[in-house]
Amino acid sequence: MANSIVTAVGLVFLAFGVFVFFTAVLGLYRFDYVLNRMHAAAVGDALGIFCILVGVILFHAPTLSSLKALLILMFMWITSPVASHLIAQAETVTSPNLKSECKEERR
Amino acid sequence: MTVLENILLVGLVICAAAAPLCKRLLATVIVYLAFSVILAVLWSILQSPDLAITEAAVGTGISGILFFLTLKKIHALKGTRDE
Amino acid sequence: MSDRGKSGWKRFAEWVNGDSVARDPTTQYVMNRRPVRAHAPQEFHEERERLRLKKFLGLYPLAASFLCLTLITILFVTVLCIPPFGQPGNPTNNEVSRHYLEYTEQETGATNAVTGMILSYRGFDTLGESCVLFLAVSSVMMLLQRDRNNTDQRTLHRLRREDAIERTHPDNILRKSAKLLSPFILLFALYVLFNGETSPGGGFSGGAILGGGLILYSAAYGPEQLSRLLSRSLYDGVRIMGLMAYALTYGIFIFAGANGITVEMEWMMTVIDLAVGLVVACTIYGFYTMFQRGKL
Repeated sequence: MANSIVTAVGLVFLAFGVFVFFTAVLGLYRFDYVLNRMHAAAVGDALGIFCILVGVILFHAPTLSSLKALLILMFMWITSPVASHLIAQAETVTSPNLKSECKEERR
Repeated sequence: MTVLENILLVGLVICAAAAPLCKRLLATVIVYLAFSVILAVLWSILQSPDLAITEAAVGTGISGILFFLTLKKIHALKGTRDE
Repeated sequence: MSDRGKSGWKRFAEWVNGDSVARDPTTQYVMNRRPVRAHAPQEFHEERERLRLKKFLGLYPLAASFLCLTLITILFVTVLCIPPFGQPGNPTNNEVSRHYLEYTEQETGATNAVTGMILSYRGFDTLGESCVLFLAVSSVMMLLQRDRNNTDQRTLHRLRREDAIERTHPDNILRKSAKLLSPFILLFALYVLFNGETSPGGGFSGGAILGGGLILYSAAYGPEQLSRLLSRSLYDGVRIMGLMAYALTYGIFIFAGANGITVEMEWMMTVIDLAVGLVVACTIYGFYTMFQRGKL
């Protein structure tokens, strides 16, 4: 009984993670400007990775695989925001017309 | 498992066809890296984890770095031109 | 010329580096002669260029599509000739692969059949691949390394400016995360490297991860920080010693094994793994530094 409840919770987490990734891809596709698109991808990435890996951990609950999934989660949570930060920094440093493109954001 | 495999194979073909058709070199490189990621997942589905590890490390990480450095060296990235 | 007194080795090194003063008077004359420019009007050149571009753009899609269609046809015919997947009579299911799968553990001492195959049965193949990597990084060094002869003042100025920006505005987020992550990445690389006999991994993947960790550290802390740890001479030493250790160990392995003498397989596999991993890591890191700064 408890096993099936854990599995059901894991399934819910997995479905929510897939939904979050879907919205991230939608935002990546629909937004126009680089920083907007990057923001959608980065936020969706962090939450989606969390949800999917928690689902995987709940699926393999008492084994070594879940510990490995936890390590993967920590690794992704450290590296993914740093990568987004570097992309944003490269855009703001190298973009020649940043001011005109960001005008609508600073109202 | 075969459904996932078929989806990945279709994605592989789409990425391979899209890579030379992109207008910008940066987009070409990014599509190629996506191709590499899909290929790594496919290797691990086909039960050859040795190849999957190597493909993920070399194809996605290091060849990406080398491509971006080359693009920076030939000034194909935005904003890296010498003024 | 004045290189009468120089030794042969020095002259060879100068020749490799591209000597500025040619020894032969004919070559010297050709080098000194300025290229002849035709003094045609500008419009003529533009017109010719435009015509050539038009012809090229007309022919290019035709030739490209012809080439692609030919390749696709050849590949499809090849795929259609492949025997169906999973049949027992296929050439992949002959006794060679069965022998490899059954006797790998007792003949080479590796639990992982793939590592046993690429490092001991097909060891010469892997030795050739290591040589290819070694030669690749050597030629990239020849082409891209900066020294006094091929660096102008402007490049030096730009590099110095980039260094100053790097020093005054360090990226703290990247530095902290690299400091946190790179020990774990290097540890994982060593795990993959040394555990190749019993689990997926081995020299190539472990070396690639090792090179990736070095690249992360170098990108976060600047090249000087890493070149203090891994100097040019140490880098060259590791590269050459890796290849030589591979050749030596595999030579012992082949000769002793071929003559029926039992050799200790376990440490030999580990040594070969380590040698391949070091060569791959040095190749990857060398590519990165050469492309990035032209200097180790």
